[in-house]
Amino acid sequence: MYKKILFCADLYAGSDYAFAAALDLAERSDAELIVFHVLESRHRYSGQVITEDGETWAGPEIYEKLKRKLKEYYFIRIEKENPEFVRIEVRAGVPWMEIVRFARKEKVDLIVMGSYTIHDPRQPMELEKPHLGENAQKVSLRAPCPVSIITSPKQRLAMEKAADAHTA
Amino acid sequence: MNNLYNFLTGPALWFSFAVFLVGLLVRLVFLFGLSRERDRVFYNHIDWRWAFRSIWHWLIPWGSASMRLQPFFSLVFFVFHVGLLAVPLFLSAHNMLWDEAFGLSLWSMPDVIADILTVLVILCAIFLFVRRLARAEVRILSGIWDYCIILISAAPFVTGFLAYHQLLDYDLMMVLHVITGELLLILIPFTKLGHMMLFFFTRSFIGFEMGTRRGARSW
Amino acid sequence: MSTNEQAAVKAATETENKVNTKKIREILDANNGARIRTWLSICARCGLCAESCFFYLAHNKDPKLSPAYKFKNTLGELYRRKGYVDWTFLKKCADIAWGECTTCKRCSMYCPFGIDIATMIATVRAILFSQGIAPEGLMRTVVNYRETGNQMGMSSEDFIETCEWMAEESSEEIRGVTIPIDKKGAKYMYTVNPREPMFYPQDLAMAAKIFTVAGEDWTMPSTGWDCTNLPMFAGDKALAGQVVRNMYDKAVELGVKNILITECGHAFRSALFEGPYLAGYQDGKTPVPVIHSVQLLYEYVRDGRIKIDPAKRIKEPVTYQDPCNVSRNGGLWEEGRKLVAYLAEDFRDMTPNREHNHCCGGGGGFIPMGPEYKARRMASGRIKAEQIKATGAKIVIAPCHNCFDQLGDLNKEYKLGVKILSLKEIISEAMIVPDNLKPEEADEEA
Repeated sequence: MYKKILFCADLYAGSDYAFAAALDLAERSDAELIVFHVLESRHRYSGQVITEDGETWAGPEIYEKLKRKLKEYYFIRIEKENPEFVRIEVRAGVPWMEIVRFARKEKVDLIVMGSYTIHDPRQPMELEKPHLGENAQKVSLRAPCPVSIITSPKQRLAMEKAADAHTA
Repeated sequence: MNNLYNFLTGPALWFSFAVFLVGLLVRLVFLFGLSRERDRVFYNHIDWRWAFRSIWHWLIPWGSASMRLQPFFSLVFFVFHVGLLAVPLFLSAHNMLWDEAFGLSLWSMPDVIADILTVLVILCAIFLFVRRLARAEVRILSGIWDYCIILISAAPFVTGFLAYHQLLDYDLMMVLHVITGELLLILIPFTKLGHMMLFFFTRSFIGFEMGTRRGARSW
Repeated sequence: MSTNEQAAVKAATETENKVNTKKIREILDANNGARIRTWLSICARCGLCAESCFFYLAHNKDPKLSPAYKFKNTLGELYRRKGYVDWTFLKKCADIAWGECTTCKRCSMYCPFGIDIATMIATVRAILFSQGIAPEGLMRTVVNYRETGNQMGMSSEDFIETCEWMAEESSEEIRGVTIPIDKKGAKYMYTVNPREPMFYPQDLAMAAKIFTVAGEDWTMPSTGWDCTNLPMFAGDKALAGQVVRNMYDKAVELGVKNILITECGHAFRSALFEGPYLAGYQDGKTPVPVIHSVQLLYEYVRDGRIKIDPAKRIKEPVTYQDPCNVSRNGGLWEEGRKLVAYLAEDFRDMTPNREHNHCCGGGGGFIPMGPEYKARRMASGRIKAEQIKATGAKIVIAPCHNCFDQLGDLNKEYKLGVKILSLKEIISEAMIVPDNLKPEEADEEA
């Protein structure tokens, strides 16, 4: 059913549920799963991004470091060693903008994301009341494909009955 | 002393005026030549109305925003320049010399006025000298020469004033007066004192650049 | 960036000890014209320029930040020593030329002789660049300009796709919005700051909406659409000329009547004033007239092609940031104000204003120079922050991307509590969409 699923990673536990659901669906549909992260730019018009090391240029070293981190964080949750159906992509800019842009270009079938996230990795993570964050809002409004916003661990994207029927 | 004085007001004076006029002319021609080669931007945007306004607003006291930020200083340098130009040109003693030598002369101002102006010039020069020492942003830019030039510019006025009023040794004062006057004339083409002529050109340029091209007031 | 590019940036910013004196002397000679010669010899050291410079004012009147000191100790020294200088000296010059001057040209209005210090600092930058010295941030963009013709390294493909995306989105709010690419003979060729399509494409959408409502005949070129010119600030005059030529050539190729510049400051300065000289046009004229958005938007509203909904005029107090290169160096301060008069009810001007307004502190390449210059930017921007606070405005209109970002930073740093807006944003929100352009669905809030 789905050939390409775009999962929007934010490297915090908030989107872990979304990852689990996206992974599950990708495995069952034999789809490609793209783990996508956007380094946020502080300014509207400049190329400097916020990372854990402070504000800096989005150069190849930064991207490589991030890709490694994403790989570490997410691959342990995947059963298979070196899963070929998972691809990691990073960009820099305004998150929702880059997500929609990528989705259009790659013609993804489904976008999966959490509902809100932290903006500055250097600030301590605060427990915010659940709300629909800016990126979730903007992406769901402007995406070229359906968007799934996962808010709890119980939510699954693959149809339970069909999956059970398959394995039964 | 008399021989020295005659020499100074004879050949030496000719020499100083020649250097002054020819020097300024040569400086002008040289710069003109350079500009044809490397400063096309000057010629492409000529509009004399902007040049005039750019010059005019900086000739009158407090004509520019910059002058209004330092109003007392502006007044001082205005008075200083008025005296600096008016006294040598319109002093009756100088005009008598011109008359004797060539039968020509300019209008002469009453001696009382000349006296007042001379004193004002001297006071302004003192102010400028002290200001140069006192204000940090001026001091940091100033070298020995900048201080010397103030002194050399004021010297003819000091010596002239003393000579006129016959204070100190008249002959000595007269000789010093002529020497410092001639020194000043000779220095003008070769130093920043050339601004006497170049002021008009640089102001015209910025008038064209900001005014003609953008309509912005450079004052 | 490719490995070659990385190497180029690294080489340019690393400490090297060989000074290419021959190149320095060449540049000194080429610039030894009447203007620079006269300026250097005629400076009376009067100190009037000091109070005009916001760097000087913001740093407790440190005399080393007066414009005269800056040029005397960089270009003055270079000419005095006839180019025989060492690396330490050049590093010091770099610090002054990029870290202590935004080439805003305010000082030239406060000098009794009208000495243009900004031109001299630009010459210093050219000399430094020839030795491989320039801020890293600017060097990165220089590499991008060479490779792709625009500072963000965006491919034509991506650019056109972004335009299509924005046109699609906008047509949900206004019927028939398109972004025509490479339309021959159009009245306006719209050129943008690549940071718009890269990071904030809504700017393109807003422009498209405004042009559609105004019924304008416009087009976006597929190449030569970058009107910015960071090599001009990096001191790479040759590349700066090339960048401008790309734009001019495309305009001539398409046969458009005018080049339109987005709300960007230095792009206007580059396209209309410095550009012809950089590109080698001896008469100083652009091949096609160059118009700035501030002027065109003002004309739309003045002539009624765009009508502003009176209910949507801004009620909160508003002030107007005069970008140096749009106001003082662009001549458009009245147009900007007259336009704001239509858009806002409570306008409070800064002091000083118009062509005497202060630089925001983010120009001359300061923002692209990157995080290592941020602290300086924030310190010298104190003057602008104080100006804004003094007006009591809650909204600052900034028709320039660098001013926009800089004011955003100043807002956080000095806790000004203001919102920064661009003219396109305000107009596209407040304009009345004629019925025939309203989308087909029943009234929906955009």
